[in-house]
Amino acid sequence: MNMKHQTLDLLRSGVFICANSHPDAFCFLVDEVNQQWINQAFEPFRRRLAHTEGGGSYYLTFMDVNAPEARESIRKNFEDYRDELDPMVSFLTLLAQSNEKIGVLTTGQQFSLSTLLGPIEQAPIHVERLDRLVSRGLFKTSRTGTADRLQSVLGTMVKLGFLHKPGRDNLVYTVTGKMDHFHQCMRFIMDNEQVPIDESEEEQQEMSL
Amino acid sequence: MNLLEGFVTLGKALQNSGVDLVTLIDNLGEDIHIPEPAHNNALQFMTAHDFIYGNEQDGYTASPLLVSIATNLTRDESRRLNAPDVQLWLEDLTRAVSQLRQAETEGHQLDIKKYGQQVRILVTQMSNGLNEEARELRYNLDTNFGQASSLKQKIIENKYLINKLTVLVEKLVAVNRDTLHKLAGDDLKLRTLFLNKLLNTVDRCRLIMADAIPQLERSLWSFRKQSEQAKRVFALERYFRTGGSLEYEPCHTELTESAFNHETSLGVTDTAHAPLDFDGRVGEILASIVTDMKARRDAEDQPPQKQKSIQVTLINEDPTQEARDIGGSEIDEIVDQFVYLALTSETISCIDFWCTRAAALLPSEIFLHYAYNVLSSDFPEVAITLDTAKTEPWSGNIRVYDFKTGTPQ
Repeated sequence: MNMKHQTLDLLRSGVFICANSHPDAFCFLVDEVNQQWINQAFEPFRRRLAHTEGGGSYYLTFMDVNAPEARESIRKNFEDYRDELDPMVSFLTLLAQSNEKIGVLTTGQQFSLSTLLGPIEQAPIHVERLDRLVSRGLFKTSRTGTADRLQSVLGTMVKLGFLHKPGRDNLVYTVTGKMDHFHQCMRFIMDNEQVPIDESEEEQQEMSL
Repeated sequence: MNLLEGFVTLGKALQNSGVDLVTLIDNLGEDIHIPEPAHNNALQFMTAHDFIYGNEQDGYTASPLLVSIATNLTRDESRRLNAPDVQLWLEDLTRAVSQLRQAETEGHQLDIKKYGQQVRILVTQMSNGLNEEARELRYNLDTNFGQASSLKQKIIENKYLINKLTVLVEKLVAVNRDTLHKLAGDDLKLRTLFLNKLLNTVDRCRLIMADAIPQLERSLWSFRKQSEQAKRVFALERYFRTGGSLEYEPCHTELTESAFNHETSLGVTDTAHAPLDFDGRVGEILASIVTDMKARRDAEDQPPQKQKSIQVTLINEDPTQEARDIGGSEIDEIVDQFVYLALTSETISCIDFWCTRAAALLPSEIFLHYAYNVLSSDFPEVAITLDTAKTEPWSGNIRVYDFKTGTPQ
């Protein structure tokens, strides 16, 4: 399969193509001529190529976001981020809290399992939070031991496409472009979620610390 | 007039206007004036029932129906497709054109007329057939297919239409400018005939097909039934849509290598993601999608707890424990979300966040206190700006109404 078709395949399957996860396809997409070719191929399906802020990764999106089919799909995309991937937010916060150098994971960042494991194991409160994370929902696992549990969580994130791990035995993870998409969408969702506030709630907004 | 009477009248009309009808068939593609029709009533009947088109002033021309009847009468085999088999048709046309040229060279007027007529009939036959097939395709797509009540029925309808499309596409590819120009050579009459009667029809059918196929294709996605045949048809459709003209027939290699003939460009279902154009009209649409989203699962599960009476609170009290006591263990996850936003957003208001995410779980003052403590102790890199006011003008105490992270705009 040549690069054109390989790239079409990746985009069609919903992959975020970034320099770390798919270097060849990424280089192919940087070329504007190839971008046009891809757009031409997807045009009959009312899809187009898009990229995350700064062009860190490419992905497939809708030509007309207001089309019923597109609205439905985007709504599901947002709801998945907000509800299904909710535990990921806690995990990202745990990482940022336990390891200042790691911070909030962003596209292109690389780290090894041991980089994360050490700081978590050092503080019981972090171990406790990790235990709580893997006890239900997205990251649920029956594994015991902090290292195994952490590896399981990272494995889930690889499966979801947020992390890339080149080989089975390779313990270095790379954050993919999907993470930027997640961050940007989550911010947008939070900014635009509207909850009607009644008067009694407004009264509660006053506080003293 | 009942049907029996209709057939009887038709028989008489055909009998009485036979000579005029042959004239129209002989001069297909032209408006023919019949100054003294043998039987005026017969012509009127034929016009009224669309066997012929036109009127006395503008002249008459044979309708597709009359051409079909003429074709059937002049050949043995009566079973036919709407448009003839394209290869056989091309062979017949090539032969007729060649015989016409021969007759012209030899100056045989009768043969010129005979083979000229043959060419016209063949052209009209294909043109009418293509029109009819395109019309039928559109009709099937607009009516039967949409009315199929079961998935099985839809798949059957779909396959049927794909078969029809395959036939039509093959014809549209074969009947192209290049082939016809080669056939016509320098003969302007033939070129004009091919252009007016056939190539315009081909272009029109192409548009109808380009319009119909995506509709069919979208349906196919939902059935997950894609045959090789369908893929080939779709590839050609894409080729046409993106500017491919019918001036030449794309070879197999070209189609295989093109973006249009790759199986992965099929089956694009819901794997596209939200665009990140959060400004302008797209941003407004995306915002409206967010407001259309169903309520958060936790918000649905959790009945409002505003009725809880909370006595708040001393600065030295452990805000974490207090928040957990009231909001339950999930308050930690919500604070995580707040911290996550504080780390990834330019600025975020704690009270805004509480309104959307935590108002049902615990009072704002406890949430603010807890979130403030987590941020200030574990994430010193996050700037916090307090929104405060004096409790009383003469008092030294202040109230914190909200705090914002990052650099407020």
